[in-house]
Amino acid sequence: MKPSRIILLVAAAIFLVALGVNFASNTSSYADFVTAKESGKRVHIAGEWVNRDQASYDPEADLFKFYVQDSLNNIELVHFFDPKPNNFDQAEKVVLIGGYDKLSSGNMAFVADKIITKCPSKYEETEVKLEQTAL
Amino acid sequence: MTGGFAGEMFVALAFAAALVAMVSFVFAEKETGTEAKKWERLGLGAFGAHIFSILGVIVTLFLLIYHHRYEYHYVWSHSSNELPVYYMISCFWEGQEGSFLLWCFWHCVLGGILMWRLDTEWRNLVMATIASVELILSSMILGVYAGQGWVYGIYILLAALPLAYAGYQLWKQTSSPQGTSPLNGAFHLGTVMMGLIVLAMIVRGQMGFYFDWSITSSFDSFSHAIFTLLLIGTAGYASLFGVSLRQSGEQAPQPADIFAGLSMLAIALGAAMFPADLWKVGSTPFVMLRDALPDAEAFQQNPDFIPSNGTGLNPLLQNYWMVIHPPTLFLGFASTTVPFAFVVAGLVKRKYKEWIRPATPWTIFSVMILGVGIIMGGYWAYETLNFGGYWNWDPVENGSLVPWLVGVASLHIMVIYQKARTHLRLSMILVILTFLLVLYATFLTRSGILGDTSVHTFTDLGLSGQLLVLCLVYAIGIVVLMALRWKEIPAKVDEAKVWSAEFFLFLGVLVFLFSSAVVLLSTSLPVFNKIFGSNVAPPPELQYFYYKWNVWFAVGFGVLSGMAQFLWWKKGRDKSVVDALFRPFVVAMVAGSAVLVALFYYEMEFAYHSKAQTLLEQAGEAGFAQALFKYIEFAFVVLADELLLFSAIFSFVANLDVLISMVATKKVKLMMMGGSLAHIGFALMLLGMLFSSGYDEVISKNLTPDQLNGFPEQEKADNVLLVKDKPRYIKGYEVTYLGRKEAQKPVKDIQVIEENASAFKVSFRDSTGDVFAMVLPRDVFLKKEEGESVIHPTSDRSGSMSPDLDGEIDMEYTEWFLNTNLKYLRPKHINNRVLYGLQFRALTDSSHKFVLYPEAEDNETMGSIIAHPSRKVYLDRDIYVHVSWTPNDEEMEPKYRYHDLNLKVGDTAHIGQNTLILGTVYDLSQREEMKKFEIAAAARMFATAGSDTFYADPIYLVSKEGKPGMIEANIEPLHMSMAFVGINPKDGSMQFQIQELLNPDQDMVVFKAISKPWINVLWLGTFILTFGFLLAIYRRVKG
Repeated sequence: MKPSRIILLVAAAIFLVALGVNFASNTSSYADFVTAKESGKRVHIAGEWVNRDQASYDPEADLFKFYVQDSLNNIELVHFFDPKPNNFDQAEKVVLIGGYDKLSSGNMAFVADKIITKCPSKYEETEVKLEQTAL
Repeated sequence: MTGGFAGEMFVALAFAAALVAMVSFVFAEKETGTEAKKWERLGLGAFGAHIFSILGVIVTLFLLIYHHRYEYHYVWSHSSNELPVYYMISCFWEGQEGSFLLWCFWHCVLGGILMWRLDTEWRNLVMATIASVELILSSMILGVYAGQGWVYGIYILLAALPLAYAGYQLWKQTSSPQGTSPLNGAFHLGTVMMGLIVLAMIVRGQMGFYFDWSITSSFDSFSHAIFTLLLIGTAGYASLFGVSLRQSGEQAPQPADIFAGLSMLAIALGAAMFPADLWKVGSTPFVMLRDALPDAEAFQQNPDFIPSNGTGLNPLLQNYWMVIHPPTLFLGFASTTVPFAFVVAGLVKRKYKEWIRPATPWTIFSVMILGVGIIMGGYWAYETLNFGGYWNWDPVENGSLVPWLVGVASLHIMVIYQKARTHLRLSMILVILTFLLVLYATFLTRSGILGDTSVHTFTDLGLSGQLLVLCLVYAIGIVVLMALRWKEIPAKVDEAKVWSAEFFLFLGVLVFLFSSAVVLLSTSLPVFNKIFGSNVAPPPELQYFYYKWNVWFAVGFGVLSGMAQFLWWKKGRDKSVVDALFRPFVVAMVAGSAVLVALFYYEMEFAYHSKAQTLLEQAGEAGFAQALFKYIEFAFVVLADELLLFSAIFSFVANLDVLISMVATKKVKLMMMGGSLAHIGFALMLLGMLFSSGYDEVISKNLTPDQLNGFPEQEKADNVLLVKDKPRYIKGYEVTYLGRKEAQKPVKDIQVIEENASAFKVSFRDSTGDVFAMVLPRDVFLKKEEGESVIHPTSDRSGSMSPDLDGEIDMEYTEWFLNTNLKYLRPKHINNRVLYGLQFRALTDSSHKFVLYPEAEDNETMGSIIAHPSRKVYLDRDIYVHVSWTPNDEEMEPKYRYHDLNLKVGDTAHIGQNTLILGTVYDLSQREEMKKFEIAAAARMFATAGSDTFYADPIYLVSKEGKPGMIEANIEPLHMSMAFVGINPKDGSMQFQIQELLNPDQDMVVFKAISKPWINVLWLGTFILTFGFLLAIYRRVKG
């Protein structure tokens, strides 16, 4: 084998290892609120939006607060510093990307940096209205 | 009902024809002489029939959508009455079935061109490969349901027998030493084809009607007639063909053919009675709504129910970019099949070198179209979605980016081969990989496997197994073929010189491959999770992860593309490389430094510099090993953007230099400039991305920190609340919310788009051309019987008469009504959209102002507003504005509180924060204009709010006849309205009614504004890149 080819292979191997290590150290896990609080890291939490009537958006502060129940049934108040995301009302499941932060009030709270909403697809639309009086 | 039947026939025919075409082309390649010619003709004919059938499917589906045939599930779930014709075409790509159809369509177009243009050397195998892809793709829309129960097993067996027999005959004839009788071959292929059609038809439980005769309501006599005719035709086909064979003197296998026809007839009639859905192949776009959703309440009550309106096209797709972006992207996908087909042909025919030349223009074409398609998608996202950018690193976007990156790599390896005759195997591998990655992307996006990692919604239509098979068939097949031929493929072990164009080209290829590896790795995470049963989530800072890796590939591209282009054209000149590259290098350093100084001067900060700062802080706290990694990462992050700036400018200048010297020496024609132009375009795109994404800035920073109650320190408010007519300042502008954009009189083009027994919905165009829609009660607007009363606009239409449900809506009256009451009706734009007028006035130049209309759409199916941004486009940047929050209609309704007061002169009362004082009451009855009243009195009412005092004079009147009346008075600043309603004769106290508006600032909006510098450089670069590709294709086709 030519030396240049060996160098190339070594370079590619180093690149792939570096990529793999870096990717692995950057990935998070699907966690729950308790472990997220303990670890203090940014995590993915898949859960369900509960107590919907207690959710609120404060347009002045640009803060949307709502409750999420994670897979272990922990319920936590989530702070999201943006308006309510699109599709949120329809979401069957929400995935929060975020972690516990200290607010200016001094309290710790779960702050979502990003929210992924999973909605029932159009394909699952099973409601065929017989008479649409309200149109 | 018959429309869907025709569609299903076309699908089945397309599937069968693709099979025939594939087999025929393979035999045409295998045979020689006149036999081959005959096979070839059969193949061409069959592919022609396939093209015809696919067009038939598309036309049928379009007609169903066009005629609002909501008894079909696809039409119901993807379109609606509101949909303009030009968006109906978008219905094709909202559903998976439609997008498979689109993909098929492009293969047909490409296959048609190849059949026509390609010489016979390549045609057979290339077409066979394309037909094989078409076979699988059309199976995706077959919607065949295979059997249930033992009865079904028998029928399938019966159907399979003639197929197997015909197949056996084919095999026997082709492998016999005398060769094939093409007519016989055609006959058996025909049997296979017809057998498949019948199979497809009968095995399906849902064909537009159940075959269970007891459900007479859903049985359609016309469909039945066609079905019967088709069966008779199929059965007769065998004997007729047999006769013609005998007459032509060729050997005809008679008994088996008659058996074939009869058994088909038998299974058709028998199996038809047992609908089943044990497992299905494909998902047809022609399934009836009641068959798709048999449990829906509506069908329980009325099996014949047909909805009067569809659920509509996703509003995000109702954008002109969505009319052209998906077809472009799918053309890009489909065109990767062509170079792949050439590789297959080259491998099979052992023409390992020759395939590259005819395949190259196709590779350029697919890279060009795929690139344009991706950018169009980005532009659509930028214009329609509100995430504030054109690229989100979503798995769906990555799915098409990865094949593009590998495609670019394959193109360059092919170019290297043509110059230096090296890397033949690698060029094959990369072309194959591009195609496989397109299949893989399809699998990712359509199988539902992406799950939690994508914001896009995907549903498994039950096709994931089929998609996986599609990927594996090609992956395994091509690996086996490649392995068989590996040793034979010439591999020239010739070292490229270090300072040669090929060397830098090869490094460039590596850069693109590494980049694609990064994107592919993290996009495939859900697949790894599935395979290994793990539960790993993608990096929380996904954008940053992609950035920190890919920015270095971009730097690599800049440097390498500049050097490679230079060496490519300058080779053999006197100048040394260092001399030649000196000028672009110096220009890049000077220009780059100037830009850096300008950035510093304007205090523009790169998006990830704060990230670097965080890394540095973290490193201080971490242990040695971790700290080391953090420092390394810091160094990488802090240097990357400056280096990208320099290298992109270097690439731009070096390529421009090459271009200018070409023009100056007049040695090279325009068509040779494709490469330089493409690289210039890509360098500009990188600069555009660096600035628009790295130096973008939220200018709607909330400048009043006292409003940021409860904010964590690191968070800042990027959204600003505007109350109507109250200006606020953001960076560089004063912004005023002018209110919603209302319909302007006169309205025209009134159309009823939906109606039922009690209400109807009209759409109309206002004087500015905007389209609005609203719902009106039906009975009020019905046409009156002739003679019952004269239709007069002002006549009272409401009330007494009983609603005539069958009546026609009086359009004339509706138009009059809308025009008269437009101000109060306040209709929304069609699809429940509201446009919010935001006026921007530049702080530096108050004469410079503009109004933007970002939209918010109140979407019922999505359950919340969908914001569409609006932009002010400057040459050097965009101001990108979208609505983030709006009060809903209920909150917009004015809310009042009423207070009844009993006051004497000098009394005070408290209304909310304000204090009211009844100052004095004076008699007006002596005044000339008040002479007609018995009593006319005015009260001087003072209202104090803080340090301000206002007054108003409500008036109390009693006519000569003793009828009371009043004139209200308002205090606008306090949102109060007062009525003087009576005087108590006993104690002389006076009664007042105060109306207090509780939500005076109800018309408001929260918005976000982002400045995106140099974004137009990105779009400009795209145009130049595409133009460069076009020149390169032209040169290779002509030259």
